[in-house]
Amino acid sequence: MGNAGIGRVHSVRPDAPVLWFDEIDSTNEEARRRAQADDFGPVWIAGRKQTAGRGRLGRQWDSPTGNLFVTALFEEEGGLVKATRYPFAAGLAILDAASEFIDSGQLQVKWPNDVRASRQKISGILVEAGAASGKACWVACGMGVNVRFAPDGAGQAATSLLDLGAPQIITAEMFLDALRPAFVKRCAQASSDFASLLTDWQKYAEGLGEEVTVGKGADAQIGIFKGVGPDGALLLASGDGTTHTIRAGDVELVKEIGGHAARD
Amino acid sequence: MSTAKNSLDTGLVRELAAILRDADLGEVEVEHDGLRIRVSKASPMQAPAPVQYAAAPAPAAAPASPAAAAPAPAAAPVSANAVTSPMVGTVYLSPEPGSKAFIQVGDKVKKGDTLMLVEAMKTFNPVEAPQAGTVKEIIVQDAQPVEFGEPLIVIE
Repeated sequence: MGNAGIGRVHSVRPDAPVLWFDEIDSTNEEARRRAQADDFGPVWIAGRKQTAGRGRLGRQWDSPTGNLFVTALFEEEGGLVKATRYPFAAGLAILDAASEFIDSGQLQVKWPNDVRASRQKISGILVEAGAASGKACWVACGMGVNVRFAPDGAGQAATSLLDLGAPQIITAEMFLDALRPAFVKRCAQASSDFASLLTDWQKYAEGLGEEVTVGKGADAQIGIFKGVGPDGALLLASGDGTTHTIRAGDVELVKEIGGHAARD
Repeated sequence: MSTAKNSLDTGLVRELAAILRDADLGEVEVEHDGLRIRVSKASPMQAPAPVQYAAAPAPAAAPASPAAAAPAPAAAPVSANAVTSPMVGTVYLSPEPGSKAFIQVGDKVKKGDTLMLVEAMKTFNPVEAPQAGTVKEIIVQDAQPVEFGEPLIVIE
């Protein structure tokens, strides 16, 4: 390890303790409270129900009992540049774990990390990171997975593993048991060989080579989704021949939302 | 820029690069006679994008070129107290669209208060106040793309 002398970094592990809360405001909030108190895990914080589940930029994430809400809290010695790899690792890990219960041929990943089937959302991921000791940062990788229910009102169509053919007995606990080793494996790959992780990711990428919009309203950009850069940024080729590198924003397929609406 | 200034800058940059290399540091910054020069290696906190904010005269490998020192004057108007972006991404001044901003000019902040968020690849990093003080200037706009090391806010 290259961190001799820096102190032990609390890397993510599948056998890290799993803390189940019957009810919690948000597993990411709990992770943040711990990180602010210098407790960087590694720990899995899971809720059977969230009362204030949230997604990107404060969006509400419906959290009925039966679905999985979990946050992996750990330290990353590579700092923020490596933390930005975890959304891709998490998306693939959820896809890997889901393939133990359903046919993975129906699954795709929407940039950077929403796992979907037939354009319907199965999971949402919210990664938050902040400064920890030295060059390291803490990472709270929150993952919401529609195990048994497809909540309405998530801003886009949703489905569940049960709807997609998972065994009737499937539970959030069962899915977490599959997810933990898958997540750790994908995180290790993200850390040591991010290029290979992105190659795997592109096999499942939704809309690759197709026309997409990024962002909303007047700021929306439209172009062809050409692939991802070495850091995972979305490469968008616009009509004038330029390629834009996108690191934030919601991506939508033009054919999904209707080409005219997207251009208006 | 005068020739005298150029030769001074080049020498300084060369010296800093040597210190950087010999001491195995990530970054060295000096202020001299109103001129601020920072020489940095690729930082582990920096996304691997080729683009760098102008205030961070990058590759220490190019110290002989006068161009290496050229960005320094651009840094001059920005206070040395500016809090800079920890990564390449998009900056948000409020926790969610349409909600109240984390801070306004004139606000008093405590060390560790969240000032803004920077997002890249759906990873959110809260930018925290490095020390207590008063918000003097918010340099960036909401939802603006920012580079690593770009000044975001001045707290005095």
